[in-house]
Amino acid sequence: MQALRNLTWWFIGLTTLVVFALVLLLSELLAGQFWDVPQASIVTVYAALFLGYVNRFKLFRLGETLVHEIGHAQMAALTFGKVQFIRVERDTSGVTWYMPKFIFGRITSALVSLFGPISSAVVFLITARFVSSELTAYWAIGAGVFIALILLTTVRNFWGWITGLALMAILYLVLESSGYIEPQLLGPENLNDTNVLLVNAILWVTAFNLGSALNYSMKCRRPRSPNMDEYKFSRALFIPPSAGGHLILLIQLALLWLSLSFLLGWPSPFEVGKFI
Amino acid sequence: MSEFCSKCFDEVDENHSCGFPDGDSDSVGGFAAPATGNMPLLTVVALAPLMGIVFDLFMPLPSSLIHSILVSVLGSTIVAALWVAIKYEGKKSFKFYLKNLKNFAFTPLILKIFTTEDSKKATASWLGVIALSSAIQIFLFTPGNSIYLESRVTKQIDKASGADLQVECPSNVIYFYNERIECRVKTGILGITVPARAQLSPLLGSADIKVSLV
Repeated sequence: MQALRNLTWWFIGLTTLVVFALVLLLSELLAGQFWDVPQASIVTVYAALFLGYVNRFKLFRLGETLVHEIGHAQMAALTFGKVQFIRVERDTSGVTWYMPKFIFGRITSALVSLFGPISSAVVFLITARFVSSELTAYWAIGAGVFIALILLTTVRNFWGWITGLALMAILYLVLESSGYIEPQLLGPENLNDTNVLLVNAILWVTAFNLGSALNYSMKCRRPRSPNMDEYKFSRALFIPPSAGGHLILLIQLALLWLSLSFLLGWPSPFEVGKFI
Repeated sequence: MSEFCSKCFDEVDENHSCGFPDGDSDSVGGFAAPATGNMPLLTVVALAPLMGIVFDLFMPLPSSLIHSILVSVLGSTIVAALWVAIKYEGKKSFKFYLKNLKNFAFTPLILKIFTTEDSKKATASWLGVIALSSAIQIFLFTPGNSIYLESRVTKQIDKASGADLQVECPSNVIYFYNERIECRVKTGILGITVPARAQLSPLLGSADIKVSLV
C-alpha cells in the first residue's frame, strides 16, 4: 500500500508540474487567443476571497484544511519522503503524517512547512490559469482523478472523505455542464449558461479556500508555537519566526496577484490592467 | 451593344471604321481566325470560366461566393487573352491587351468580334459555366484556400502575442461550411501543436478563428 501511495503522490506532483508548466508556456505564447473571463466570474472571485477571509463557519473551512494537508503531503512526497496518511477533523484542524528523507533535512522541512499554508494559493493559481485558458473541464477531470486517488490511498477519516467527496461532487457538475459527461442531473437546455455558472462555482471554491488560508496566515504571521508551520519554516531558514510568517503571507499575496493577472488577462503581472 | 472589327479589334463607330485604324492605335490587325482549330470558339468561350477552378487551386484567396465568381471571371479573362494571343495575328502590345481587357473579361464579346454566331446563347452558357465553376470552387477547399487561412491564423496570433508561429491547414477537402476547419499551430515547444478552428463565411470569405489548447 505504501508503494501505491508513493506512486500516487509522485504521479500527482509530477503531472501537475509538467502540465501546468506546459499550459503556462503555451498560454503565454498564444496570449490573447482565449476567452475573456466573464465579469461575473471576476466578481465571484472577489466576493469569495472576502467571504473566505471573514468566514466564521468552521464547516466551510474544511476544504482549505484538506488542501493545506495535501500541500504538505505533496511536498513531502516530492522531497522523497513517505506520506503515511492525512486526517481532516471537524474542528478544521488537520494532520499529515509522513516519514521524511533525511537528506537536505532543513530545506526539506522548510518546503514541506511552506507548502501547507500556500497550497490554497497554488491551487487557485493553477485554477486561474486553466480557467482563463478555457481548460476548465480538463482541470476538473484532473482534479477529480487526483482527489479520488488521494481519498483512496491517503485520507484516513470520515471528515476527510466528506470534504473530498463534496469537492468531487462540484467537479462532477462541472464536467456534466461542459458536455464531457452525458447530462444526468442538469437539464440539457442552457448548458452553456450552466457551464459559466459552474466555472464560477470552481472559482468560488478555490478563492474561498484562499480567503480562509489568508485569514489563517494573517493570524499566524507571528507564530509562537513550535508546532506551527510558520514557526518550522522560519526555524528551517534561520530567520525570526515573525519574518517567516510574513514571508508566507507575502508569497500567498504574490500568487494571488499572479492568479488575478491570468483571470483579468493582463499582459504581464507587472502591467496592471483592468480589475473587473 | 457596339459592333467590333475583327481586323483591328476595336469598336466600330463614327470615328473609326473597320480596317482603317486610328493613327495611334496599337491594335493594327491583320487576320483573326474565326475558330480555334479543332475547338469552336463558342466552346472556348463557354468553357473559359472553368479555368477559375485551376486558379483556385493555388491562389491564396478564400473560398467564398464573391471570390469564386471573381476567380472564374479572371480565369475566363486569361483564357480569352490567351486565345487572342495565339490566334490573333495583328499587332499585339501591352496596351492592346489593356485596352481590350473588358472584352476578355466579358468573354462572349470576343465571339462578336471574331464570328457571326449568336452571342446570346454563348453568353447564357458562359454565365452558366461561371456559376458551375464558382460552385465547384466554393465546395472545394484547395491548397490556395489553405494558404490564405494559414496566413490569417498566423497574423491573428502575431497580432495578439507577437509570436510568428507556423500553421498548417488541411487542403483538397470538400467543405460544406457546416463545420469548422481545423488547422494546427506549431508551438515550437516539445513538438506540441494546438488546434485553430476556423468558421468561414460562404458569402464573404471572412474567417472566425478560434485558437485553443485542446
